[in-house]
Amino acid sequence: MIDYLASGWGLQFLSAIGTSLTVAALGFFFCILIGILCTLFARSGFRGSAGLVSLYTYVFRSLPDILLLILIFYTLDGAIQALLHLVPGMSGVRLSAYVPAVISTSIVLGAYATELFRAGWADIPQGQHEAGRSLGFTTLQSLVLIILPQVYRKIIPHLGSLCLISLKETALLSIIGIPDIVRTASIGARSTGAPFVFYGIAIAIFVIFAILCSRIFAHLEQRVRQDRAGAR
Amino acid sequence: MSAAASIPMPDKGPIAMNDTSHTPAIEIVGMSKWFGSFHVLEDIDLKVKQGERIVVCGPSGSGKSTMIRCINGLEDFQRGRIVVHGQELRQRARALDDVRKKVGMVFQQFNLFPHLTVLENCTLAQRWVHKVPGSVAIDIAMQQLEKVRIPEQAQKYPGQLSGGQQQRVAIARSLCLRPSIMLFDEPTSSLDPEMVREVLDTMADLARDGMTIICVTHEMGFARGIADRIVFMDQGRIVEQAPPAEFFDAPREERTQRFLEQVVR
Repeated sequence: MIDYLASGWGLQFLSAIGTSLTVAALGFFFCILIGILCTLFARSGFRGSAGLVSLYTYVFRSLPDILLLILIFYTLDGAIQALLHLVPGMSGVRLSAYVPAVISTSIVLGAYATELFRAGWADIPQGQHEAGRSLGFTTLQSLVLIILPQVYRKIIPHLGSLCLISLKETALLSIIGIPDIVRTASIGARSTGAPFVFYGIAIAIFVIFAILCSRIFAHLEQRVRQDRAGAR
Repeated sequence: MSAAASIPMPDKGPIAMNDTSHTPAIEIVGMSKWFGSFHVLEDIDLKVKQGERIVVCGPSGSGKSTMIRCINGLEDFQRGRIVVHGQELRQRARALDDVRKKVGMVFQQFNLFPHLTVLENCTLAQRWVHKVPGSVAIDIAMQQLEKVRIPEQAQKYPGQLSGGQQQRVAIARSLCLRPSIMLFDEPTSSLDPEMVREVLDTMADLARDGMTIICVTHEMGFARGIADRIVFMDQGRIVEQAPPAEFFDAPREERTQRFLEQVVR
């Protein structure tokens, strides 16, 4: 294994890890943003807003991720290229495949994040909003200082799973030609004829990431636990 | 009757004359509110002088809580006017912000922020709403926590305190914003019986300091002890208002008499 890693595959894997982690981190960040915004929209009281958000989470959680990724990826890729052609002087520019990749990952994961935030939000007693209002906080202040920190505390174990899922989701990007961990492993396996070594490395990377991830979230959970002790 | 007459009443004569130069703390005129087609509040008229202590009582569902929640804009109303320190509530959006800076509110369920320590609960609004510098906010918070006799719990989280302690923190949290009016919405109703006293004592301290208070409560002993006036509500209307001695010992309305027979032995 060391031989393979030393003969250039090590660098390939390092760059693949970088690619996967970047897409996963961006996807995780944007899916949380989507979750918060969709929750706010669903609670905004606009006619049909809650139904629209439910439709989004329903569709995107019930269809296979791989199908959605391919669908969104090619739709977005085409749309973005078409838009770029409209801008004078930009017609020669090819957009990196990472942009639609991150967007499609975010949209798929956003459906799960939305469900999380909606459930966490529903758990916050009405009195918390009222206390915020009666103390004179603006809606935004109340959201950032009072409501979201409490939602965060309620859903933090689930955020840990979501973080893991976001890295696993990047494995799907190999089918649209992005050199992530899985794609690198499969190229290596085919070109060297040593599948166990290369897929073994891929597995090890995911396992290490899973352990790191659960460590981090266990620590975060520990930090917020003190104030939940004895809370009703 | 004779016992009631011997209860020393605060001498209101000269105070009443001084008050004519002040605007009333709260003035509610012809206020009505509907929940859908249900008429929750019907033509409410109430004038509260500065420093006056009002206890609102009545059977559940009579609209008591809804009425005081209208005063700081937690509830909307459809008809009439509410004026707080000369500011009409519905005239402009900013008026509500101004009113909330003068009006503190204490809830039945305490509504402390569970993710913040007691001290942080008391400094959060000071720092973000009133833009008080951090160290000053902490000083003010500690003063108020001492006033409610709970400074030693400053670093704890609400979940680690008893109900009575939580409610006293909630009172301190409101007081940190220097309100001139305090609204209490059944502050002792969700407390264990042995904790009611400590909260009522804290409120009595406030009353002695001259705070304008409107308190919805079923604690009739407290009402008799500190109220200048008792407002009795039933089915969304104010049925009767009178000083405690008169209210308890010589209620005029038949509905009030029936209510008192049930709650006071």
